[in-house]
Amino acid sequence: MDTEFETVLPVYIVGDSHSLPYKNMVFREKWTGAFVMAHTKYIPGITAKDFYNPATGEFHPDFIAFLEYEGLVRNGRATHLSMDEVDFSIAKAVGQAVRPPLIMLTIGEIDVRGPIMQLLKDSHDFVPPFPTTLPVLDKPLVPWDLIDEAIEARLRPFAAGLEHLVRAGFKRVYVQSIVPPSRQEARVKELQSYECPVTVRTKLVQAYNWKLGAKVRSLNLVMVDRWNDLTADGLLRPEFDFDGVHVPPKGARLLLEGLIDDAIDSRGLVANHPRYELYYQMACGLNPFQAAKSNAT
Amino acid sequence: MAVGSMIRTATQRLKGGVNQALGALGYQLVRTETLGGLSGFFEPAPPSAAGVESRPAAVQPRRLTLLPAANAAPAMCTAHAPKFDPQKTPSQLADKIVEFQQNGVTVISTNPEKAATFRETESFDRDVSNRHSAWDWAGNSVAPYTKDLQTGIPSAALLDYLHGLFSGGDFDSFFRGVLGCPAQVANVRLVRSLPHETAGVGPQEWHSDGCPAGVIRGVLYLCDVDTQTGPFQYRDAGGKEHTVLGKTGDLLVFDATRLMHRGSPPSHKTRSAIDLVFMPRMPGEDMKIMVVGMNHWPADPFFVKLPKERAADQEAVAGRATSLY
Ligand SMILES: [Fe+2]
Repeated sequence: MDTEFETVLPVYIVGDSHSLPYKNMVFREKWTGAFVMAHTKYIPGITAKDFYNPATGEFHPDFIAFLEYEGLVRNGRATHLSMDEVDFSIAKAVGQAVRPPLIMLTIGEIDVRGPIMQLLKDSHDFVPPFPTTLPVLDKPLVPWDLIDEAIEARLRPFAAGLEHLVRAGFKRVYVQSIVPPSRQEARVKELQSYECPVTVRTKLVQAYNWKLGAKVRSLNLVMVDRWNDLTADGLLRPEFDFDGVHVPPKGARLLLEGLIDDAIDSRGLVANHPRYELYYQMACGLNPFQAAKSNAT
Repeated sequence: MAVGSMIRTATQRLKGGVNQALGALGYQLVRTETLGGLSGFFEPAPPSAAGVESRPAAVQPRRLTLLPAANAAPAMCTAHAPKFDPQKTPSQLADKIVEFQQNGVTVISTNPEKAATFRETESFDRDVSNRHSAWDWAGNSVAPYTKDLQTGIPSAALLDYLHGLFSGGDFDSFFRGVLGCPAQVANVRLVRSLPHETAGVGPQEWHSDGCPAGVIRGVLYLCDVDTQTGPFQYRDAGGKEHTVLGKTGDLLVFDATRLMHRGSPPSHKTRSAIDLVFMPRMPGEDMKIMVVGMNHWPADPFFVKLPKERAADQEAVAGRATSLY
C-alpha cells in the first residue's frame, strides 16, 4: 500500500537561553494542518552586540555552525538558493521541496538585563517616547536619549547582521521580541545581583522591543510579538512567569504560532527562483551545470 | 645534477621501504607538508549529478561571513526559448509564437461554444480566500483580499477539455515555441469579476506577477470582453498602454513578469474567465493539469506536491488583515 508521505515544517530557532523553551516543540498549525517542528540551538551568552561584527562582516561562530549543521549554509552560501551541482544533488537525495527556511532569532534579552538595565537599577526610572500603561515611579528620571543610545549601541550591530542575512538570501528571518520580564522580584535580585522594580524592567523591555521592531521592519523582516497575550495590566501574566527569566514552553508556543500566522501569508517569498532556472534549463534540454563549468574556466 | 638526482632516487627508495614496512604493520607515516600537499591536491572532484558523495575537503577554518545571494524573478520568463523560425518549425500557431516572442503576449481563439457552455455550467461559488494554503506553494493570502472577485473549482469536464486542448499538436508546438520546452498547467482557476466603480485591487491593479523562469500566464475568456467588461491591459516595452478586447473562447497567453498588466476593473458587465498558470514540463513527462485554488506556483518545480483543500477556519480567517503579500 502506498503510505502518504508527510514531512514537518521546520522552524530554525537560535539564540540565547530563550531558544530553550522551544526545544523538541512540535504541533499542528491551524492553517494547513502541517506539523511545525522547532530545530533549536542554544548559544550560551550570545548578545545582540556579539551576534555580528560589522567591522569584519563575520557572524558569531556558533550561529554559522548551526546554519551549516542544519544544511542551510555551505561554504558561506545559502544552500536553498544555490545553483551548484553539489547542492542540487543534495536536494535530490533529500527529496523534498527546497524552500527559503523559516528562522527565528532569540537574542537581546541579555543586553537588556545587563548593560541597559544597569543605567536604572532601583534608583531611577524613565519616560519612554511611546504610550504605556506602566507608571512612572517617584524616582529620579534618566533622560530618554541616554536609554535610547544604550539600546542603540546594542541593536546597531544586530541590525547590521540581520541585513547581512537578508543579503545572503535569508528573507524569512524572524526576531523574537524580548518576553515580558518576571514579576518575581526576589528571584530577579538573586539572578542579577541588583534590584530593579518590575514596572521599570518591563518598560525597558517595551522600549527595547519598540526600537527592535522598527529596525526589523525596516529590513522587511518581522518581529514576533505576543505581548498582549503574555501580559495582563501591563505585566507578565502569572501563568507565564516561569523561572525568573524565560517563558514556559506554552508561552514559547504562542510566539511560534505568531510566526506561523505571519509566515502562512508571506508565501510570495516561497518561490525558489534559482531552482526554477535550473528546472527550466533542463526542460529545454540545456545542462545548467555544464554552463557553470565552462563559465568558470 | 646527475648526482643530485641519484640521491633523490635513493631517498625516495628509502622512504618507500620505510613506508612499506610500516604499512605491513598497519601504520602510516606522512610528513605534515606531505599531508598538506595531499589534501590540497585531492580537492574534491565535482560529484556527478547522480551522487553526493565526495572526498572530504581539507579542514579549513570556518567561514563566518555569508556571500550575497538573490532570489529574484527574471526580467522575462521565456529566456531559453530559441528565436522561433516558422520556416524551420512549421506550426499552426506559428504567427502566435512570433507575436508572443515579439510582444510578450498573444491571443489564440479556441472553441467559443465550449467556452460559452462552461460559463453556464461552472460554478463560481467561492470568495477568493485561499483554502489550499500550503507551505510548498506561493499563493494568495488565507483571507479574501477583495469582494469584487469570485472563484470556483473547475469541474472534471472542464479539466478534461483543457487537457485535450493543451495536449493537442497545436498547443504542444505553441508551448515548445514560446518556452523552448513542453508545458504543463500549474493551476486552473475560475475567476468572475463583478462590475464595480471602485479602483481595482490585486490583479485589477497594474502589476507584474514576478513569475519564476519558464512560468507564463493564460486567461481564457468565457464571455465577450468589451471596454465595459474589464478587458486585459498591458504596457509594452515603450510603456504604451494596450487594451485587449476579446471574444468568448479567446485565450490570452502572456509573460506576466515581462509586461506590466492588469485585468481592468469591469465597469458595467461581469467578466467570466479561466485563469491559467503554465510552467515548464520535462520532455518525456505527461501533460498534467493541477488545481490549486488561490495558489500560484509550486515553491520548487522539482518537488511538486498538490496542496489539500481545507475548510476555512472562519474564526481564524476573520481575524486576519485582508492583504496580498
Ligand atoms: Fe497578473
